[in-house]
Parts: sequence; structure tokens; C-alpha cells
Amino acid sequence: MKFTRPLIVVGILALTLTLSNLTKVAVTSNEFSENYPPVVCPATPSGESSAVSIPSTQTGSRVLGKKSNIFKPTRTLRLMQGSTPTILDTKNMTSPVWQIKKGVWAGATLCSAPSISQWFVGGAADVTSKGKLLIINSGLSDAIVDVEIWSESGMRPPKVVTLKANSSVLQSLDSLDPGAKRIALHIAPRSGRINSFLVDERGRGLRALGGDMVNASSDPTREIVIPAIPQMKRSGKNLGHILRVLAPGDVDARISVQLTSSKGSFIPVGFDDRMIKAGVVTEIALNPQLAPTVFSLKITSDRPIVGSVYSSTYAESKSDFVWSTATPEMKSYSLAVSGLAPQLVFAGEKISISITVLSTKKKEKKFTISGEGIASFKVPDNARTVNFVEVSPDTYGGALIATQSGYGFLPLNPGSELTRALLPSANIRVLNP
Amino acid sequence: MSSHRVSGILVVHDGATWLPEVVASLASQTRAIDQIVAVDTGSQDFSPKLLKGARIPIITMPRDTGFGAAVASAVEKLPPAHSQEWLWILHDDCAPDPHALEALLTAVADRPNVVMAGPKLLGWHDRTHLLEIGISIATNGARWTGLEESEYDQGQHDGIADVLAVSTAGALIRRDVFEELGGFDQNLELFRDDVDFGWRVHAAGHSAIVVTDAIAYHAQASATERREVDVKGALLKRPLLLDRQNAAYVLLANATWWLLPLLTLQLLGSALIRAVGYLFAKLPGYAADEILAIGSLLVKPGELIKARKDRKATRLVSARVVSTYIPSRGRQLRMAIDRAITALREFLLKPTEESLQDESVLDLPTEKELEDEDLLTPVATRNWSSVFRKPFVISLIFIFVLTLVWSRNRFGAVSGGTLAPSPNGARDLWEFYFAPWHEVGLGSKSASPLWMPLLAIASLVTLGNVAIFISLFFVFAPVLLFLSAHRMVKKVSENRFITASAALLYSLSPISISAINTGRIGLLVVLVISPFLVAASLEWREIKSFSIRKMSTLSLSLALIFAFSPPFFLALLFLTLAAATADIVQWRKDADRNTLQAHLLRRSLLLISPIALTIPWSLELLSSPKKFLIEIGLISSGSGPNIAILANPGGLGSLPWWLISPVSIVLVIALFSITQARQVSAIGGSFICIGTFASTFAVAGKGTDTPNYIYPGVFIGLATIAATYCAVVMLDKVRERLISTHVNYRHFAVSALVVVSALYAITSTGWIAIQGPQSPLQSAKGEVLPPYLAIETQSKTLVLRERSVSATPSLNYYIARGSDVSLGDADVAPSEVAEIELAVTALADGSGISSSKSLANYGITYIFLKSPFQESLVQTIDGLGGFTRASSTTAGIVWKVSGATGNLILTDASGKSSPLKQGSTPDVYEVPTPGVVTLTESYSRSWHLVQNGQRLTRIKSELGLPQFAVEGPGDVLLIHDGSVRRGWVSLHVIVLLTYILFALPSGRRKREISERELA
Repeated sequence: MKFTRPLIVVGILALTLTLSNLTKVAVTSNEFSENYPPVVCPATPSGESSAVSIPSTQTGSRVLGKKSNIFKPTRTLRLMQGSTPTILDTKNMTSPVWQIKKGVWAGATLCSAPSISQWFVGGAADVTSKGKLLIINSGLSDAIVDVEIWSESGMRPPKVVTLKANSSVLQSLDSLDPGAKRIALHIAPRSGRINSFLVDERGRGLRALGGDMVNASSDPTREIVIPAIPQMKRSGKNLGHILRVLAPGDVDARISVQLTSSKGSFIPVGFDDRMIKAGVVTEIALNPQLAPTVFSLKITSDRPIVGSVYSSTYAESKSDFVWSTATPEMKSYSLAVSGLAPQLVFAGEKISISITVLSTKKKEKKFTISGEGIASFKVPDNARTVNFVEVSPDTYGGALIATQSGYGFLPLNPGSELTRALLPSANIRVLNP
Repeated sequence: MSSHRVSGILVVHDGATWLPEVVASLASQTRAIDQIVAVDTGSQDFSPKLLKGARIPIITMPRDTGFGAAVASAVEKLPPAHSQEWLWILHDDCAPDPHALEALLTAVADRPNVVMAGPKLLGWHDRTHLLEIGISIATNGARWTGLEESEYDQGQHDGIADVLAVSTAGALIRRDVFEELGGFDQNLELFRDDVDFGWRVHAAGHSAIVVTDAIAYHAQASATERREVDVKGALLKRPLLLDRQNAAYVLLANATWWLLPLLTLQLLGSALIRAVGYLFAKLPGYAADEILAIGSLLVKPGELIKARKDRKATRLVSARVVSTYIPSRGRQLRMAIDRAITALREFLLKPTEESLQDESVLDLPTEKELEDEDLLTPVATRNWSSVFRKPFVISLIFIFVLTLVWSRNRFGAVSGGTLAPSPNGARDLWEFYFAPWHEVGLGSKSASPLWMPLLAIASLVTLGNVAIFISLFFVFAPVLLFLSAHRMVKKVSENRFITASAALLYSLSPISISAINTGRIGLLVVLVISPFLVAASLEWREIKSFSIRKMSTLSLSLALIFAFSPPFFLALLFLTLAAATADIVQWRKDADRNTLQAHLLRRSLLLISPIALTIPWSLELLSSPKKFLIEIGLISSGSGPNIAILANPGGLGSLPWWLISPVSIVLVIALFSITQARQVSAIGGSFICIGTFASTFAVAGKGTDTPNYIYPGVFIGLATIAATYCAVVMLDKVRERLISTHVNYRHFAVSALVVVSALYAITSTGWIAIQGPQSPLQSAKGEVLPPYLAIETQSKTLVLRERSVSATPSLNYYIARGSDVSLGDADVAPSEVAEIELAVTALADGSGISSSKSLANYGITYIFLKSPFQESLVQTIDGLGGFTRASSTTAGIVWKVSGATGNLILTDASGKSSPLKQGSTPDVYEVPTPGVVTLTESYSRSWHLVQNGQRLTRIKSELGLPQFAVEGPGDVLLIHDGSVRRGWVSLHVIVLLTYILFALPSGRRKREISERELA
């Protein structure tokens, strides 16, 4: 009995704790809504044609500018794109657009979700330029967009473009910075759901010099990887490349470029610790002595930069050029490829990628790609979708597509990413500083 | 002097008590009275016998004869007037000094203009108490002596001085002038006849003096209710009533005519103020006297008119000749302030037995020590350094320095945690309290909590600046907590090291730190005030013996705490139930039903009083009992049970769990200690368990629909107080016991307690110094709404803001009405409207194509997305349609909601909606066509729309908004009827005043005051 009171005290405490933990209610302070924002595919300019690879015939689509906001099934795996942009509800799939000017040039880009910042390193605004910048506002409110322009002369005052709700505007490149031979653009929407697409088409008089769609890259970083650059020969001579780089800050950048091909990695002569003047679009000729192949570039810098590579191509007896752009690190996603048979190129120190290819006959095939430095995979002709199931870290990817009309580059990154929207709840605390 | 002849007139009325000494003093005058006559006004004691025994001729008159009439009849009976004859008016309770008459005659001998002279009047019992050295009258009717309360006579006023008048007690008046002026006004049967006569003397071109060499001792028997006032005109035989009535009469009969309106107002005002004062002193009879006196005079203007005519007949100079004798308002005010300060000082600093024993600050030598000291040895002086060696002082300095470090980010207007920014001044708090409608969210008719006016009153300390007051309160909160706890424990132990340490630990306890860091002003009030109630709560078994005053004071104190902390009521309920259970158990033992009933009645009263004293706010709590679980201010959660059991409420700004305080350990150890500590620790332990259990539940409210874990602050706070008390009780005597016993569990328990306490003190101090300033409560936090939205006071703005709750992001919204949240807003915030919640959810997830229409229906004009935010949310809103970007700055992005929206929206017959334009005057709107007008405020039956003087029919719309059918074009007036609120506030004031009345110390009627006190 000596320990009765201590036991009672311990018992009460234990009971209190146990009951409290058993009855404890769960409280969540936040709720989410997850979805893939619909993607926007660029309009087809007159004289050109384009096709969008659709992952499913039930994929919803609607045309920009119409009053109706209802998505209707495409009922096709290869959507012929009209003169107005199309909005697709592709969910977790990414649809590429293959755009050609028959017999003149071809290019590829991704249908993508609206972005808050897009960088385009490519194109020219001189007399050879027939390029265009397409800005699309898929939102139902008016939009204001700042178009920041850099060239070999430095930065121009930003151009402000106003778009009405649910509309697009086509801007000639030569009107942005007349006479500029090399330009880089930054599209920064102040408001609205904005997508931009850049077409770099060139000609001298009546002579077509080719063209391509310049894919957008993300904000400047100190390390960029351009994973897929085609090395070609014509008449036994290597076709050259031009590296275009911009350090958009106020301080000059020092860059080092590492080239990786199937033969190994090296820093080309003159590309180590090279100074890039701030705010000026700089081009450096790159002529590696390589057999026809693909290679990648890894550019490191002490300041944030953006960059891409202009490559002359010759395929299917047709001369063209292609802009290989920097891509973000790859992650698992699915790419619709119906109608296309791209060559997928991966760059990274240790590449290990699991791919599932779904054919048009709905048959699945699994592939594993591994390698060091660079690896490539040719997508079968009858493929409908390619699902990147597992991707090793620090791996970057791009796709090269060759047709009779020309050559194109496609970054391997999702056009629409899963977005977690916080669902709001009432709380007067928002008014408390 | 020899040419003067003196006729003494002694007026007697039941004066046997004083008469022997009076007669003796008259007989022993060094200058004999030439003739004397006594007038007995129907004495029922043996006064007439005494007079006969003294061979003084008596004139007998009826009992209701007034003083003036008695004197007049005596004068009539006197032989014809002598050329230098003086009347010496004497009271039966006033004994002149043997030299009085001689001194008076000496003074008037060489002052031919003096016709009235009086002696210095001293107290009957205390003959050093100076009663009068001449008298006057203040403009509010008060009798003015120019002396301090109970002033000691040490010759400071000695000499001969011109005065307005002297008391009739011992007044020497020249007979010819007396008769010329008609004697004393017989309308003034008692009291103030002296002032009136003096005034008339001056108006007739004469003067009056006081001669302090002449002394008389006056018992003031009538004024101090030592005998009944039987004069004819004394309504209800009430001396105060007669005095006030006569005072007013004197002023109105003698003053210049153009001063009469001002004097009337002043008399009325001061009578009202005095009546209120008497009511608070629980002397309703005196209060009634004040009002009746003025009333009875004003209803009989005929007497006044006649009196003014009479005075005009004898007036030679202006009545304003007396103005030099009337005290100025400044002098009256100074005297009133002096008296108030003296009374306050006596009340506050009255030495008690406890205070005499308290040596916490001034370590004075005891009587025994003094006896032991060799008187020949020089007294050892105690220098200031000894003060700084005292534990109390050292601890106080330590906590003061620590609080300065702790508060280094809190100098200036503070907000954060549960504390909303303060309004500009106390006036805003008052306005908020009285307002029947609060523009918070969609509008709220909730009753404002009582803590708002209490805070407004408290902020008078800082001249009504609420922000400064709150800042100072939080900065000095640790010091207040220390002092409060020390006051509690110093009654338990004389060991100042223990008491100072316990108080220090209390001020650094987890609950104190949490309350300060998160701006919990209500909990701090609980922590500061509750220790003062510990002594009363320990007497819970003797509640039957509690006086009404003590019960009322306790009720008010409990209500004060409850007003600042609704969960305190639950703790009070628990204590009441526990005490009632003990009462029933005791009743089963001794079968004393009366005691049980008395106990239960008083306990119920103490439980109900906080509710009654805080209506109508408390009624809203009763209608929604979950509100009893939520502290005042913005809601903020605790951290659940596992930390609460360690007496740490957890949540933002609280100590981390691993800083374990000794609170729970003390409570457990005290359960095995002496009885006194055991009982208190059982209560404290119960509160810990209740707090632990309560912290498992979550509640929403106060402007948030997200559940938050209950913050068990009050329960842990009360447990901490109990632990502090127990620790001191235990440790007070434990030292001797530990020394005298072998090593046992007590040694280990005390060692553990000391080690844990020391560790906690050190670690918590370090944490406070480093982390304390980073806590949620800080100053200069800026503003949420940018200025361009803050000026839109008539518009509603939906504010969207991302917040981090324990590192978890959350998106919240609320409707702003042109300003950020302010004190009290959260307490009256209305519950969320489902339609708005749906619209905002759809806005965020991108599905809200009709969100703009829904928001416009509720009058929401703007959406403000406060920075920082996710760009995806901006794109989502941009993509929805119905919202037009109005601005985008570093503060955030503003969209204007498309569509017709405003305070009042008219929907015409075609279904077209348009906002009503405001007219030239506020709350007037122009209706262009007939239709239905929707008011975008929460529905309330107090909303009215008036057109052409008619109230329009009001219905509740599908959206829950008030709608009015307007049948024709024209102006409409929007009003919110606040009658109900005013009614509740009035009822509240009545209840509050009743309690205050009972809680105040009772005044004593003069007849209840001992003669010695009266002197």
C-alpha cells in the first residue's frame, strides 16, 4: 500500500496521455488541387503546314479565339494544325509539333503550358530574316507581355505587347531589332497565360536558306547542357556549327565548353575560359573534327547565361539548319511521337534510362538505354508514345528529326507539368501584417 | 472695551450631553457676559433642568422652532438695545474658552466696521482639530472652511482675518445691525444661516472677522447627526437635505441676478455628482437628499423671490462685494484633488500587519532588535548597496534586463501571433465596442467583447494611445508576472531567496514565454491577475463567511479575467464543481443543510457572475460553446498533448519541447508533500490533465474555417501558478527537515527539483535572449493592403495570401474593408459564406469561370494577391476571365472584378444589375428604376432601407443577403438600427454598476462615526 499514491499518479498521467493521443484529431492546414494545365500548340503560318502528334484520339482540344471553352476529342493521333493556335488537354503527355515549309525547311517544337519566362536564343533580324515570333494569350483576360531583345549591339528597350483575351499576335523578327544579325529574346509576361514560339526562317532574295523553330529554354543558369547537336558532312566536308551565347547580366561571363561525343569528351580549342561580354549576343564558330554523329555541349560559366547551337544540316538531299537548344534535366514523362521517328539523344555522365514505347497497334516494348557521356535511341516508325519511365540523374535529352523538308530539334522535357494548386481557406490572418 | 455690553443668547435643543461644560465655560469667562438668556426649543432631555440649575433664564419654544426664530425671540425678550450692545450667539454644544469673549471684544473694539466676529472653532473631543476659522460658501453650495480634512491646529492660521461669515456658534454680532438686517433668515431654520447673515452684513457695508485668540470647542451635534433635526422645515428630519437645501437658498437669494442661471446649473450638476458618489458609497439616503434638496427649492420659487426682495432692501453695496471671500473654482479643484489624493493614499498605503512584517525591500530593524541595541552605540546606517544584495531586488533587476533584451524587436507598435495591430486610439476601441455592426468580412452583428473597453480604459495610462500601452504591456509583462507571483508567494514563506526564485521561474515559465511571444494579451492578463486571487481561492471552504462586498469584488475580478480569456470560465466551472462536490461530501458527514445551501448558492453566484457581467458577449459564447475554448484575438494553435503535459502549450513562439520546465515535476512531487501543497497540486495537476486532453481537439472560428488545435494556455497557466505556490510551500520548511533526517527520497526529490529548475532557468534565459526577439510578436510589421486599396473604404477586397504554417504552405483569403485586421476584428468575424468559399476555390484551381460573377454578387470589387505568391496562381486567375488586372506592384497584384458590384446592387425588371450610386449625403443612394435592391452585407434584421419615410420590405436572398423591393425611383436611405445593441449595453452597464456598487467600500452615515473620529 506504500506505493498506492504514486501508482495512482502514474496511472492518471498515463491514462491522460493515452486518451489524449487516441482522441487526437488530425488537422490539415492546406489542401491541394493537382492537374496538368492544358498546353498550347502554335499556329501554322501561311505557306507552311504543321502536324501535332497526339497521344490519344480522346485528347481534348479547342481552338484559340473561339467563344466556347469546351475541349472536344481530336479523334486522330496526328492533328493537322490550322492557322490559329490550338489548346490541347494532353494531361501528362507531351505533344510535339512538326512544322514544315514543304521542300524548304522543317522544325519541331513542343506544345507547352503557359510560362512566366521564356528565353529564345536564335534567329536573326537582318535582311535575310523571315522569322516570326508568335505570342499567344490563352487566358480569358487581357495580357501584357514584355519582349526583351538582345543582339550583337546589346540590349534594346523592351517592347511591350498587349494581347486581348484568348488571342495571339505574330511579330516579325526584323521589326524587333532591324538589322541585327544575331538576336536573343526574353518573353516576360506581366499578366496573362502566355506562350511564345519562335520561327527562324532565312532567305536571301528568292533563295531559301532554310529555317527552324527555336525552342525556348529556361532562365539563365551557370551551367547549361545542349544535348543533341547533329554533326553532318556534305561533299566530304564537315558542316559547321555556331555557338550563340548571351550573358544577360551586367557582368561579363567566363565560359568553358565541354564537347561530348561517342568518341569521348574534350574542350575544343579556344573554348576554355573564354570571355563573353555581358548583354551582347556572342557567336563563336565551332568546327569539331568529328565523324558524322551527334554530340552534346556542356557550358559552364561564372555568370548565368543562355545559349544554343546553330548547325547546318544536310539530310534527305536537303540543306537546312537546326537550332539545338539547352534543355533542363530530364525527368520521367511521356512524349507522343505518332507520325515521327525521332532520334533521341541523351547526355550525361552516367546515362541509364528505361523507356516504354507504345506502338500505334497499342503494343508496348521496353528498352533500357545506358552509356557514359552520350547515348542515343532511334524511336521505331510505328511508335505512338514514348514513356520515359526511369531517368538517371543529371541526364539531359534532345530529339533530332530528319525529313525530306529539313531537320529539326526537340528538347526532351514535358510540355506540361503536374501543377499543385493550393486550395484557399478563409483566414482573417491574411489581413494581419 | 468697557463701553460694550454683551447679551448672551444660548439656544438649546436636547443638549444635555454638552450643556454642563457649556454653562461652566460661560460662567468662567474672563470678561463676564452682561446678561444671558437661553431659548429651549422643546428639549426632551434634562437640558431645561440644567439651565434652571445654572440660573439662566429660559424661553421655551416649540420643538420645531428654527434657530433663527429662537434667536429672534430671545432678542425680543431682551431689554431695549444699548448703544454698544453685542449679541453673543451660543449653541448648547459649543463651549467657549474662558478668554473667548474678552478676545472677541478686544478685536472689535478698534474695528468700528466689524459687526460680526467669531472665535476659532476646535473639535469637542480632539481639541487640536481645527474646525473653522470663518466660513464661506462655494459656488456648488459646499460649506467652505478653507481647511484641510482633520487639519491639526498648530497656530498656522492664527490672527484676525476678514471673512465672509463666522459660525453662529460663538458669533458676536452687533445688536443694532442684527436688528437692522432682520436677524437670521427664518427660512433657514438650521444650517447656513450664518453664511447668509455674513453675506448680508457685507452687502450692508459692514464686515465680519474671525478672532483666533478666541477659541470655542464645538461638537457640531446637528451636522453630525448626534441629535435629531426637528425644525419645521426639515423634510424627513434629514440634516443633509436641510443643509443642501439651505446652501442653494443662500446662493440663489444673495447672488447677483445674472449669475443665477449658471449657479442653478452648477448646483444641479454638483448635486448629481455628489448623489452618484453617495450611491457608490452605498448611501442612497444621502444621494436622495442631494437631489431632493435642489428639487424642493426649485419648485418653490416664491420664497426665493421674496428673499431676494428683502435683501435688496438692506443692500448698500453690490452682492459681488463678497466675491473675494467665495473660493475660486481653481481653489476648489485644488482642494478636491488634495482630498482625493489623501483619501487614496490612506486607502492604498494604510499599513497592515502583513506590510509591517514584510521586509522584502526595506529591511528595517525589528522592535526586538531595537531593544537589544545599546542606545549609546551609534545607530548603524544601512547603505544602498545592501538593497542590491536582496534576492528580490537582484531577481527584479535580472528580469528587467532580460526583458529589455527579449523585447529588442518590440519597441514600437507591436503585432503578430494572436495580436492584431492596434487602432490609433482608445476612442476607436470605444467606437468598436458600442458599434452594432462591424465591417469585418461580409459584416457582423456580433457583440464586441468586453476586453475592448477595458483596454481602452487601461490605455488612459498612455493618454489613450493603445499601441503604446500594448507595447509597454508586453515589454514589461515579465516584470509584472514576477511582481504578481512574488506577491502571492511572499505570504507563504519569509525566505526571500525561495520566493524570489519562484517568482522568477514563474515569469520565465513556458506559458509566460508563449503568451508574451505570441501576443496573447488575454492570457497575460490571466497570468498577472490570477495570483492575486489565490489567497481568496484558498479560503474556499469558508465561502459562507464571505461578505457581499468580497463576493462582489471576487465576481468583478473573475469577470475581468473571463473578459480577457473565455477558457477561464471552464477552469472556473471545474473549480466550482470540485468545491461543490467537496461541500456535498462534507454535508453527508455533518448534515448541515443550511451551510450546504449557503455554499452552493455563493459558488453558483461566483460562477454565474462573470457571465452576467459580460453580457451580451457572454450570451454569444453560451450560444456557441466552442468559443469558450478559444482565446481572444487571432486564433493560433497549440502543439498537442505530448508537449502540453510538460506544462508547455507549444505552438509558434513557445519553448521547444526539450526545454523541460519544473512545473509538472513540482506538481507531482507536491502530491506527496504537506497537506497545503498537496491540495493545491491536486488542482494544478488536474488543470495539466485538462489542458493536455483539451489540446487534442481542434476548433475553427474567429475568421478562419481551418481547424486549429486548442491552445491550452489558461489551464497550463493556472497549473503553473499552482506549481509556483506548491514549490514555495514545500521548500519553505524543507531545509530544516533535510538536515535533521537521514538521506531519503526527500533529499533526492528536492535535489532533482533544484537541478531541473536551475537548468531550466539557464536554458530558458538563453533561449529567450537568442530566439525570443524572433518570435511572432514584433514591431513595425508593415501593412497588408497597399495604400491604393486602403483608401477604398467603401469597397470589399478579397485578399489572397500564401502563408506558411509550421513550414507547410497554405493559401488563405479574407475580405478586407479598406484596412488590415485590427484589434477585436477576429472576435466578431462572421462565419464564412459557402458561396464565396466555392468561388475562391474555383479561382485557385482554375475551374472558376463564374467566380467573378459570384464574387460580384457579394460586392467584392477587387482581388488582391499579396506577395510573395506562386506565378501559377497568377496565370490561373489571368486565364479565368472576369478579372481585369488593375495593378501589379511589389506589394502584390490587384484584379478588378468585372460586372456590376457595389454596396447596393439594383436588379431591375429585365434582370439587369447595376450598382447604386451614392447620393450627396452618406448612406443615401439614388434608385433610377424600380426593382430589387440587394445589400451586399450579411443578413441582419437591423438593416433597413427607407424610401419616402417608409421602411421597405426586407427579405433574405438566396445568397443570404438582405434584399429590398423598391417600387419607384428616388433616393433611399440605408440604415442599421442599433437599438438592440444599445439596449444590451445599457443592461450591461446597469449590471456592472450594481456589482461595482456592492464591491466598493461602504460609506458611513455621520451618526455611525464615533465622536472621537469626528473630534
